[in-house]
Amino acid sequence: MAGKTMKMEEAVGLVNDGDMLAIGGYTLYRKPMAFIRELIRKGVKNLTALSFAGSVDVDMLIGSGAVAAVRSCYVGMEYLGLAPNHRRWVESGAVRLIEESELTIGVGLKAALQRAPSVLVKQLLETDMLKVRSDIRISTCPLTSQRVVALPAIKPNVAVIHVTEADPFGNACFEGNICADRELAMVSDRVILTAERIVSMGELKQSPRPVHVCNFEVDAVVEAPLGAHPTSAYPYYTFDLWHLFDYLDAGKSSDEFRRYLDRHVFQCADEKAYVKQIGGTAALERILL
Amino acid sequence: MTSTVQYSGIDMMCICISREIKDGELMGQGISTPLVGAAYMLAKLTHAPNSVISYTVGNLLSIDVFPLSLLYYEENVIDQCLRHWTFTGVVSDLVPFGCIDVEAFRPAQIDMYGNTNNIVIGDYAKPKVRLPGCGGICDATSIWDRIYFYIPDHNRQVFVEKLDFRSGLGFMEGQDDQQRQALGLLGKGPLKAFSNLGVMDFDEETRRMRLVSLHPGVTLDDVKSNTGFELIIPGRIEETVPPTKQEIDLLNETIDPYGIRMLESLSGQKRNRLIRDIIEKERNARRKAHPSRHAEDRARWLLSAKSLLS
Repeated sequence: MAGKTMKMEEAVGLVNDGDMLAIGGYTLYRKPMAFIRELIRKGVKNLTALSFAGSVDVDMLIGSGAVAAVRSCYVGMEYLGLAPNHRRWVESGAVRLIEESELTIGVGLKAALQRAPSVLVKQLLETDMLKVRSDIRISTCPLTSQRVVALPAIKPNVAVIHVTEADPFGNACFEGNICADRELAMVSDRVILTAERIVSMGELKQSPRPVHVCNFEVDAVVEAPLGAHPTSAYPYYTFDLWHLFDYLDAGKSSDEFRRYLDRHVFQCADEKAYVKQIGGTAALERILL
Repeated sequence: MTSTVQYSGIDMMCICISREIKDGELMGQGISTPLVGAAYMLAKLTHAPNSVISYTVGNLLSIDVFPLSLLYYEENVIDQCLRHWTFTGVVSDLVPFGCIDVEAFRPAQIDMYGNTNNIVIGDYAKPKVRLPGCGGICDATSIWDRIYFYIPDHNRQVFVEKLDFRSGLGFMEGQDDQQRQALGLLGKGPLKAFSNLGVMDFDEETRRMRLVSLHPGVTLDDVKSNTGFELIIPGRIEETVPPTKQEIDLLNETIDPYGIRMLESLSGQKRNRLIRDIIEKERNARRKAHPSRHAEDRARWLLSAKSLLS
């Protein structure tokens, strides 16, 4: 088996302008933030950001100007309120929102896995969701004549998923909050894993956490300790609410947010510099599990 | 003999939801809804010990009772997991098949027929406020039979004459069961709405929202003046059965000692101050030994992370 490890700056080369980029994880949990910071450094444009449920991941990409459209059923900061850049850019019309529900994303990915063009469901009937999605239509089931809604399959160009352990070949484990990551890894054209640790295949198989992603699905493996910060990576660290408060303060205006990006992204050559910027490994103490 | 039990509007709603749970039911909890989590725990500790909770965070089922947490919520639910699922599996199998018996949602707007909005305030194309999105509310409300709503701040911005967007399905414009069936809908429509002022249900004939009971100390005028449409007012209005000392003690001492459920009624600086206060307390409590099956793994990771990052 060939190794697929690469450096973060190489891995972001797998994302092209205009791609539908699927972001793994769920709201404030196991988001591939180190990758997103590198993507912002690279200056990628016109992404469609697909996030089952997004928070700082989608919000930071939007605030950097990398996003043309968002496909999601939830972008918010959980207990902390609304996502500031998401709110500002969608309200002004600068970012288009492709309104999804949990079901439309879940079965959309499953349809793509079956190589089906669409899937028929009974949900969403008589809601305004149908008015804002020209690609979702009321239809009649050809077999039963039932009134149904036809949803499109969803096939991302590229997916990035943060895992706790990966081996150099692209086998990877994590536990709980599996989200849509298994489907994203299978269905996306290109798949990048960022991992808290790169371990041998032997150690991976000994891990108490199940393997959810296999090497044949994966194109790149990048070592990224603390790579989900400020979101969580169970069982190692929880989300950094202290940092997220600072993030939200910065998000109040475009100028302030620009300064946040300067401090935490552009002026940090890499993640080592980022961790120094947030207070060094000593700052880890408050989020360690 | 009566003793005064101190409680908030949040506690009253929490207890109302809890009382709706039947023993053995599967309850669903969505994103950032600690009031609902507390209600389920309360049901489990009182009249519904065999109930199971499906947690969105963690995408799993749990039968344990553990205190609400902000910093350690994900860790708690995963560590206490009964059965793992994936989010894709939950939303495309468990939810559509109707395995989840009961869930309580929090709408940003609700109309007299129990239709709801969690998408935008204002015009969709040029919104005044872009909200996070509807999550699974539009999926569940069109197929389930046991939908409840809770509204921590009963006012005219939430109880509206006309929704800005219909993302959750109620009784539409008052269609009956037959008409619902003809439209291909599977669910029967919502059951009740609980607010900080009272309990509402839906009239069997008109499907319009109807006042059932006022919480202790609330007047009919409080409800009427804070509702943006005409509620059906029955001839006899009950008083909501107030919380018992046992219910309040369980909430305060066992289920939610940090008062995380109170975040549901706060916003802005007040909410942030409470969050900061809670996470400092949680962090300090955590400094004491925390035995875990992950101890060895964590040590290995920390060593590796520190060597790579410093």
